[in-house]
Amino acid sequence: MELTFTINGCRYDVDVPAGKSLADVLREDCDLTGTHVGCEQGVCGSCTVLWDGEPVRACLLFAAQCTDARITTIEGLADPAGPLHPVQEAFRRREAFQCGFCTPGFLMLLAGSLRGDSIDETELRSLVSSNLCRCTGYLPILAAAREAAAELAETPGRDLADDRQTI
Amino acid sequence: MSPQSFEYVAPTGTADALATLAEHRDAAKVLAGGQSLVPMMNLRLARPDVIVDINRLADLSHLSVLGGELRIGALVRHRDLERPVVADPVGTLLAQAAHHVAHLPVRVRGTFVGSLAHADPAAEWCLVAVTVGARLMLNATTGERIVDADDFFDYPFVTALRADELVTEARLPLLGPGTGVAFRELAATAGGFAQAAACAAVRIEAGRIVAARVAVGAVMGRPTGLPEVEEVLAGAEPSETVFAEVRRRARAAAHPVDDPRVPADYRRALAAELVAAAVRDAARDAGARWS
Repeated sequence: MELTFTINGCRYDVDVPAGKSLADVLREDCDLTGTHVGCEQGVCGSCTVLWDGEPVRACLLFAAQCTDARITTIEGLADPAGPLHPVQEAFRRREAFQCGFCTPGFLMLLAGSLRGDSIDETELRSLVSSNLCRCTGYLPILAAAREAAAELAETPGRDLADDRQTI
Repeated sequence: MSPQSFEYVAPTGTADALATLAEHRDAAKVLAGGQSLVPMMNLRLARPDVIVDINRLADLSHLSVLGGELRIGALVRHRDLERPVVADPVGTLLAQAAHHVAHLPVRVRGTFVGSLAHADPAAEWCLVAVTVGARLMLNATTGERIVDADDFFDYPFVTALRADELVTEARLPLLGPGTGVAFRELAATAGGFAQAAACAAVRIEAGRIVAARVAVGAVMGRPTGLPEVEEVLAGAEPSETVFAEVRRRARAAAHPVDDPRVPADYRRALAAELVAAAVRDAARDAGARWS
């Protein structure tokens, strides 16, 4: 099936089976390998991308469903020539990654959720528990998320549903 | 693993969707949020030949109050219910339960009605639907029928839904101001499947319980109303003695399915505690006070 997507502000034309997952299409047909595939069950969250600015599991979306959405992947989170997104900067400061497999998923989860509204510790932990990490034990991720939440509460980041980045 | 190959159709009108279901019947599955269906397809536990994507049916995304009922269309996402959508205790109850449904990224896509149609015994919405006495609108090319939630659920993942039918809407009765509500659940991990869950709605007048609906979920093959608990609450003044009797009766009524990870004795005891806690919380929510 010939399909056209809007990913990170760019148009992508592909010819794939309708039922191929968005995660596989991103990786194999769009050369966007930052989105990872872990469980294909929607549990691990390593495939998390944004659909109209909100976090979703790319492993649970069929390619044919995605033509009307503005999709943002990790590659679209920051301009390669420019500053890191606040959540990326917080992860860097807090060294909130080791092998890096879960990292894009966490960054997209947080970038799509921390909108500048205040979030209490319980809600933050509930949010971070959406995704799995096998390396860090979560504390650095929580610390980075907490810092990013506080920073975005003061200066809300750009709306990731808008098309701003092209790769 | 990837799904078995299938034909994908995305109708833009409900009549077309129903016609496709009528044509393919058991060979077709409806795709709304996909947060339960697609994992099963990825494991090849589900192998539909045809996927009917209903996400383009704009008339199914309504969320409105009509005739004393909250009408939840088939495309309303779990996320849409996280904050009370109506100034009635049913809105509060939905918001309480919403936070137990999986995780945020799943709630962005998954649907309330899809959860009912999928009928996982641990599903929060199925328990809420049975507790409040929801009605489901089932549509086919042959017409529409209305089924009460209590008659809709049968066994795990088995419902009254026929192969050619689409659940287009759920209707939840408004509970009336002053009705106390509570939803309680325990899962092994945040966002995990409930080991047991309880839901209660209680009306109190002049210090006595005049109406109560209580149900337990995740413990048996489907959400189960607890008339034996409602009986002890009818006309009673809320007190720890009453709640202890609620706990005792809930324990006797729970017949947990055997699960290698969740021993039946534990599940039964947990169910009893959660039912008593939900009833207590609902009574407090209704404004009752006791020593």
